[in-house]
Amino acid sequence: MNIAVCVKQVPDTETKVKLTEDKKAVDESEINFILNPYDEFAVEEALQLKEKYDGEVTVISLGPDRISSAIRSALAMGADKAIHLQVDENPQDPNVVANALAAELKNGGYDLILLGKQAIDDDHTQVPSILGEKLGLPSVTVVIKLNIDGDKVVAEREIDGAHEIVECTLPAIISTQRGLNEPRYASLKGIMRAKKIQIEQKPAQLSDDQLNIIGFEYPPQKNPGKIVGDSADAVPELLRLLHEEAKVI
Amino acid sequence: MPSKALPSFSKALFSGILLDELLFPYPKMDKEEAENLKLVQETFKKFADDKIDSQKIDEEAHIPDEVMNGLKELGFMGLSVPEKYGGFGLSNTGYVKMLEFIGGTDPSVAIMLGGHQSIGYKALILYGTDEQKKKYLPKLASGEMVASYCLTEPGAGSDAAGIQSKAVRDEKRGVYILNGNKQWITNAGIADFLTVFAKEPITDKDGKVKEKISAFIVTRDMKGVSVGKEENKLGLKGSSTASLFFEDVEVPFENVIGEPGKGFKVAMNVLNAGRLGLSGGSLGALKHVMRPALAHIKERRQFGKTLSEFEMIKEKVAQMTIDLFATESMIYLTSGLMDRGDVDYSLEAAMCKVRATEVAWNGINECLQMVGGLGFMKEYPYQRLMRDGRVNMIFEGTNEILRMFITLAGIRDEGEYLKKIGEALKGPIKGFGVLTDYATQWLKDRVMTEHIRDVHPSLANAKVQFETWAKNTHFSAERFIMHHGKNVIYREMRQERLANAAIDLFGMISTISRVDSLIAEKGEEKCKHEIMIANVFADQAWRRVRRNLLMMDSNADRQMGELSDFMVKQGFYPFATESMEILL
Amino acid sequence: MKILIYAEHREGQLRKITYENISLARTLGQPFEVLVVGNEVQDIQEQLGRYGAEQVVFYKNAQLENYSADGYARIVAEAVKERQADVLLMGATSTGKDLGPRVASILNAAMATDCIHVEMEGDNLKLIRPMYAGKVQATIRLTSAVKVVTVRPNVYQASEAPVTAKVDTKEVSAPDFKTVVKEIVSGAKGKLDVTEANIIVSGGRGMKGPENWHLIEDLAQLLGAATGASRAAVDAGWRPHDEQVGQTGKTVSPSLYIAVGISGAIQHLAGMSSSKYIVAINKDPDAPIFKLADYGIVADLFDVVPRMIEELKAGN
Repeated sequence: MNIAVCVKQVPDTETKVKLTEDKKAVDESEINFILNPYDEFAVEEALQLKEKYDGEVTVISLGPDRISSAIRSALAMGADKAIHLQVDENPQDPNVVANALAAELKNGGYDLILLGKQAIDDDHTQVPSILGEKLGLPSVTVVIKLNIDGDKVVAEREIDGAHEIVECTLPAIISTQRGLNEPRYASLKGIMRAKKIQIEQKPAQLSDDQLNIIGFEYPPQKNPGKIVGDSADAVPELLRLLHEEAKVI
Repeated sequence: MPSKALPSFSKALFSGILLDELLFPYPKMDKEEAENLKLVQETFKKFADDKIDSQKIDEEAHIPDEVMNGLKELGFMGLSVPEKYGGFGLSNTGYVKMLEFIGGTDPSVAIMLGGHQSIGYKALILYGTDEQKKKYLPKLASGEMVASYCLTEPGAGSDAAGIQSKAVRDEKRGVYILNGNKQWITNAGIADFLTVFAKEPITDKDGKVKEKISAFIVTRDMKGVSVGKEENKLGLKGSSTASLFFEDVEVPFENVIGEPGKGFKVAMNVLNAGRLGLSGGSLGALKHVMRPALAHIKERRQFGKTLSEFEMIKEKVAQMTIDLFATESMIYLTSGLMDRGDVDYSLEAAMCKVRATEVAWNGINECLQMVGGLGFMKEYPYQRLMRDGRVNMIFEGTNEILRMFITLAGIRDEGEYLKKIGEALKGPIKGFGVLTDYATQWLKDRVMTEHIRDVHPSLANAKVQFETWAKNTHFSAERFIMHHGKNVIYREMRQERLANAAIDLFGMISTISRVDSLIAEKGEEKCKHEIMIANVFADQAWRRVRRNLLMMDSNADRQMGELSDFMVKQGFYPFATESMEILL
Repeated sequence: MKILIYAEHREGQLRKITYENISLARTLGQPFEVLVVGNEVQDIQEQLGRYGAEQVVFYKNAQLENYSADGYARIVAEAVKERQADVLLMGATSTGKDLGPRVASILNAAMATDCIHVEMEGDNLKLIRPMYAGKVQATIRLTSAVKVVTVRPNVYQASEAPVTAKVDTKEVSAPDFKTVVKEIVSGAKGKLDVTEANIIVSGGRGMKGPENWHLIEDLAQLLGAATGASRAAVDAGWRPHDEQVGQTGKTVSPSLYIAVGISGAIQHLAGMSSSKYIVAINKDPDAPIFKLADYGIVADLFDVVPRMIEELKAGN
């Protein structure tokens, strides 16, 4: 099975996001970048399928130079090849990203394209669905269970408050959600192996952004609330406040 | 390996020579290794977040099998084993950074890993034959075998040369018969590969038989090897510490590491090499505990202010930051020296160990203090990290022994030199003081370098302070030798002062080198805080150096010694304002 | 600027986000229509009319009974063209997030996901959406001719404004489906999803183990709340993944969020900080959660929560 995994490098979840002084951009100087956590599920799934059906796993990532460490993370987990679609800075419009990925993917002859359900930085949650349209392939998003038999795909996807069982055929696009699998840790052997793999570099084919970020703000600061008490005896007062002051119960 | 022939920055410093080319520019890891290291750290962090529960390890005094097996499978047992023997082949710098990272997660795990690879199989890496390496290193790298360094005995702690374990050659069978007891051995309970030091009778050139130390590979499956019960310790509870007993153990001749009879050197050089791992681990623990402490003082309000607004709290935070930065600069400068391979780093490694373990101890203590009562509670990490960190000042060479080593090894070249000069001038060392001014000046001009290379102007002041006090330390060392001659070895309080002065000087120059290189890379604007730290540290350090040097000549050492003798003879505190108190 | 509101429904029932979006469209003062795609959807006229929708278009086909991403996308895109809409407004629900980008792609439209603020700015929209799971908020502008916007549930209040809705039903031909929904498996019986809930009771590491979760469930039941969990609790295997609130879980904005034994790691706070009211119960006075909490009790949750349950039962 010929599998492509699209990954993105994103700030660590523990990162405090700082804005530049003019608030036009995020200050990247103190950010620790990691492989997007949802993409780890995609890499893991690809590796498990490869172990089961044989084949090759290619990692594809779009971004500036710094993303090589995220690509290496995916290779260290066990992927075979990597393509880095180079840009000076990440496009703001997810549609532009999807177009560039689609341009690369369409000639790759992939049976399966896996990617995380969303990147935890932009949180657009658009690329997997757009890719389906651009490539004319079935695309199942937010998948927590995946079964592939021949070219038949049965996927269980998470929807609000329920799960949906969806069927389609390969080639297909699957976006992965937590719960699908337990991503393996990159072992030291894997890291050594990854370091010997040459990452294929090519410029990304970019279209114009139709989504522009005008500026950023920090979320409104909440005033420190009140400590109602330091024992269970504070419960009646808490309930009174929720009922009478906040009017939420 | 370091030998007398290799240049040593600190030894030269005591002799008044500043080998700045060893320290500038500040060493930098190559890009590829840095990227790999980041991946290794990410793997460790993920693994630790999922599997390592430090509070539980502390309470249950055991590293769970799941954690041990995970560390082995992922490859953490082979960090410093060369790639060709199945390890990850980290440089010394990479290895120390890794241990710092692990020490910042769980000190018990760090000590287990450090006991295994900083010292456990280090002798094999440094002195083993290719056959020995091929046989054991792959298994050690995969964790199939856990290693342990076995030197300390009930009767020989700091005085390692006094070990009693014996190995006697049985030429017919081609084996040594090993007998002896080892005490407080890290990893004893889980180790399969033991680097054991024991004495064997060696006939020297003159035909005299002397007991000399050799290093042996002993495996746990050999008949006659047994382990005592796990020690109940103050800290590092998850790591295994126990006694090992060797009773008529048959150790094949080919299991000697290095030359027979040269084991003391092996033992010491393993410790030299291992000290940086311990230093890094100590700093990691402090960095780890600073996070919750800083969060606490930012939130906690008293008298209508957050704790962080109080000046005494600010002082603590700033001081631990400065000390951390300076010590970190020392450690990674020294690991860089190790990676060069052509420098004697033994003194610097000892300095790093002394400074790092004490800075970490003080820093963790101050973090505990800053969070107040919370710090005393078991559910917070402060008390655990204090307990875990306490032994760092004791093992792998107590900080007292290391201070003696720093001074005595440091001034040996100068002593030799002075002796030769003395002989040349046909007078004993003590007569040196009566040399004519002209002769003295002539000698000094020949050996001294008063200046190091130029640094960025923002560090110029710190540089001058370093140069000034390096020169004064040299003079003090010289006077120390001249006044005390062979008795320098008994003047431990003075040794301590010189050692402390040398550590501070090394801290100053390490910090200057690091920040100077950083400015060259990033520009002055972006190094505001680093420049501030380098300058404040230099200022604090030279004042300490001055005090130490002043006390070389003017002190109460004799009275202190006398008082101690009196107390030891009494056996208890005999002074009391009321007679009752004597019952204490 | 004409807005087309996509009416979300499941198992024949319209969903609340639809009414919220109608209310939003009304406040924008722009002409709007409501689009229903499906087969049997109940009470369209009454329900949509109640919230102020005068014009409803119902694109109907028996094969559209169940939602299918690519199939629906084609119909919705067609509707946007036919109704000459400039903006397609959807909920940032699992459907909106799945369907929106496909429609946008077909129409070569730009899309803004999960907006928490929508207002008119000249003849364009000013949109604010959280990024980095809410650690920052970005103001964005879409420059494409047609725009797709999804709005986070619970941000805009659904308010009634009864009118008589005119419903135009159009039988459409069903497109080819590349994906087929075989089955919808509901979660635990009557379980409310955290993203839709008005009240959430969440438990964290302080709960000590799954065996204590009955406290969270009992409290949630009394309040009509959904149950959530911190990443620590999910990673420990105490709770299912779909309950996780935070940066690698779900982002929620309920009216009331009760954090029980949750210290408030930054990645958790990111997922729930836009809740209207936050209650924290934790015995550690330094827990970062108290920074965000409107009301806090610094005490052992095993004392506090049973007492809350007791009081609520007595009150009822």
